[in-house]
Amino acid sequence: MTEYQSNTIGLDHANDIADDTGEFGEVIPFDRGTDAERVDMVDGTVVAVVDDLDRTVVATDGNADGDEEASGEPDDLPSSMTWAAPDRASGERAPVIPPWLRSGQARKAAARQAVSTARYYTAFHAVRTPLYATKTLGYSLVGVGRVTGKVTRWARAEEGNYELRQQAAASNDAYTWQALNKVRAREARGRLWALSLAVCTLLILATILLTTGLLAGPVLGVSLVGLMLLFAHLGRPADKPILGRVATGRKFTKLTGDLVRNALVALAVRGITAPEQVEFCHPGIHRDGPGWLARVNLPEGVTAVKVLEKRDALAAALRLPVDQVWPAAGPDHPGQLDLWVGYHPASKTGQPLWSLAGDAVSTSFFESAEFGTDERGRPVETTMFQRSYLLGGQPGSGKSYAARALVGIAMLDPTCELKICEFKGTGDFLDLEDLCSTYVCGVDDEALDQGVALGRWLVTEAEKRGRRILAARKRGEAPQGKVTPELAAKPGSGLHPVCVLIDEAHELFLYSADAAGNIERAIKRLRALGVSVILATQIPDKSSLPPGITRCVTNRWCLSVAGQVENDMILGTGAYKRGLTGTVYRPVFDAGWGCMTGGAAPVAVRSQFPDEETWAGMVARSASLRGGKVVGAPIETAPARDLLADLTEVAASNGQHWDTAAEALAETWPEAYPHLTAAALSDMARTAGLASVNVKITGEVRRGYRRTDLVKLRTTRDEATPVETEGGED
Amino acid sequence: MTPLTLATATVLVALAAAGIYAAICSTLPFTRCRRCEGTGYRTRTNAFGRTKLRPCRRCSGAGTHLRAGRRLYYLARDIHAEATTTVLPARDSKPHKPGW
Ligand SMILES: [Zn+2]
Repeated sequence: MTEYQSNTIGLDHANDIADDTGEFGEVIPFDRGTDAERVDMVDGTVVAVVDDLDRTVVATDGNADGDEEASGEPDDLPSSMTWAAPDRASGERAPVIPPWLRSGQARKAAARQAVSTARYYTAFHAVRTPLYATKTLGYSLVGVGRVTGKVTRWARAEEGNYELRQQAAASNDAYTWQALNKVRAREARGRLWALSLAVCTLLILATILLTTGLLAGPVLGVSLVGLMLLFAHLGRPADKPILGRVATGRKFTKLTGDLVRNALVALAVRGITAPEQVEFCHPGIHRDGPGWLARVNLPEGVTAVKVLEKRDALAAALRLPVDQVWPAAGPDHPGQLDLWVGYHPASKTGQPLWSLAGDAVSTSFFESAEFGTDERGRPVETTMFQRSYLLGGQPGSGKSYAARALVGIAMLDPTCELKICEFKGTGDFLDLEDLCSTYVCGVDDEALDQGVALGRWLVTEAEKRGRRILAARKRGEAPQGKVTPELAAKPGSGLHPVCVLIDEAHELFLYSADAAGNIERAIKRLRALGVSVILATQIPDKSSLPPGITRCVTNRWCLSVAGQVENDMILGTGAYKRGLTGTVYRPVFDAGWGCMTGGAAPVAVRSQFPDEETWAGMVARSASLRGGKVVGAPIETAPARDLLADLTEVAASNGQHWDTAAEALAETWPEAYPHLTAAALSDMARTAGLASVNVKITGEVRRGYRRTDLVKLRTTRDEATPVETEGGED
Repeated sequence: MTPLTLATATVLVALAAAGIYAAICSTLPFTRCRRCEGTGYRTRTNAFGRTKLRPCRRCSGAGTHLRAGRRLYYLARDIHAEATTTVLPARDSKPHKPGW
């Protein structure tokens, strides 16, 4: 298990501290130190997001240290809870300037939101101006009528009398009618005088104003329009506003307390029964990045996880698309919920520039670098060291580009060797070919054999590196039994960082179970040895993605998938039920979006997707950082070895047992046949068409192969392909 | 003056007159009875030459009566109300007993 400590660090100190943080805990200031918002990273994954640092200066030691993870086996899926920093206790002072005003990016987002809203409303209403004018005119006439009626009614003192008189008339009671009318007339006399006096005064006033020219031109126009608007307001029906309704249902402008409370109650989570139980933390609902953040304390005994499980229900209650509603556990205690609601659905917002796309940016294999952004547009970073990645998603989910974003980190470290296998055969990574020591592209047997060779190379590399680390540890250079940046940089140490990418990995795993086994073993051992493996696959099931591999990969990134089964195949059993889903993302439209686990908390990440020009610039920069040279050497072309020829070499007069042959092969050509077992050899031979039979050699009868079969097989093969004698197992 | 303008003018005048009459009917529903000249009774000479007072039949002795327009309005209102009001049959007075 890993322990995390999240520290609150003042703005001015964030940069200084980021440099001397421990190996596994980084504090990355959002917006490069000019910003209050910050993302805490531990081991390359977002641990906590602090949006409003409540103090202007809090400097503590920057060592957010964590135990090393037991090498080999990654943790279970981590909990989504974060520990609150001790200095975030209650009784803090409110920030002088609201956090959203302090962040340049957030300011811009808020301004952009305001401008876009204003523009939309202006255009909407400008188009309807003639309609509004007509309506206003009509309603103002009605208004004049109503006002006249009301004044008349008052002046005639009809209040309460009119109805009685009508009743008297209806019952043909002339006497009562006359009596009532007399009363009314007495009352009305004074009022009529007052009214006529007022009308006269008004008329005189108007005449004076008009004749003196005080009320002329624009003033007259404005007052007439004002008068008209007043009468239109009085004259319009109560249920029919003059302005057209702008609301289109999907338009979301502001998150309000009532919205949040009612939505939380609507979830029917046990314990939340009344809206008043949900209390808002200071400073209430406020702007945070391109959206609103509501930090609430749930009722006693209700944990935020209960709400996180029902994200779609929450979105339904708020009447918003799911990718606009982002609940997360709050920083102070488990019963605190951070509900962030974007101005727009995440799938419809743009993406900030990739920090790696800037000029003269280089990365380090051992340091975290940005590869994507979260729903709030904040960078999400990761390290390549000690990490392996599994990317899963249906076609169109943006797997290759997500893998590209990760490779981008490795690519810009000039010491990092790149090995890329792409079993789609369309050359998705062709532009990186010149940087790679090994580049395989295709779906034919030749390409797949190279993939198998890569698996073998990984295993032997793990052996070699293990021995080198052991030696280094004895010399005191590798205190934790891990590659250190110093060791990796040492020329000739054989411990330089390597990034291996296998795209459409299922092709390889289906082709050769051996390769799958090798890669699984390699991933387990190579984590601490400076080799990072990235696997991308689109068909996650047991045969195309061995569960062993899924289990030993540290970071799983589930992009758009079709259903729960695929989702849990990538993120682990129960992930879907805990709300970690890639099913919310649509292929193509939400390409690059995915849910990544592997750190303290799962995060929704959208991979960076640079345009072609930017990417080409990055590749060129990488090439120039590497001085035009390729780091590392290509894999010894082990598949060039002819298995049948080699079997002939180690055979006795009539044939050979599998176990004896396997030992002999491994001994003679260790590079080509590392760790070859009898079962594996028999399997390989069967693939090549060589039958496994009982063979008697030096008096013992065991499973093996006959020399006659072998000769027959080789002659038929040579006849079929007279030119390509190095065709491998064909 | 063409016949068309003449017809139009007539119609307009009629409409205006109707409007004014309606307004009068609304504000002053009662009018003086012309038969009894507002007195409510009439004199009558019998066969023997003696005059005798008796209540006016037209206004039932009130001296005033509803204007014709007003009466027409009430008539129309009653017809409309009768046509549009559903009279429910008398309720069954027996208490409802549920089956259980
Ligand atoms: Zn009469």
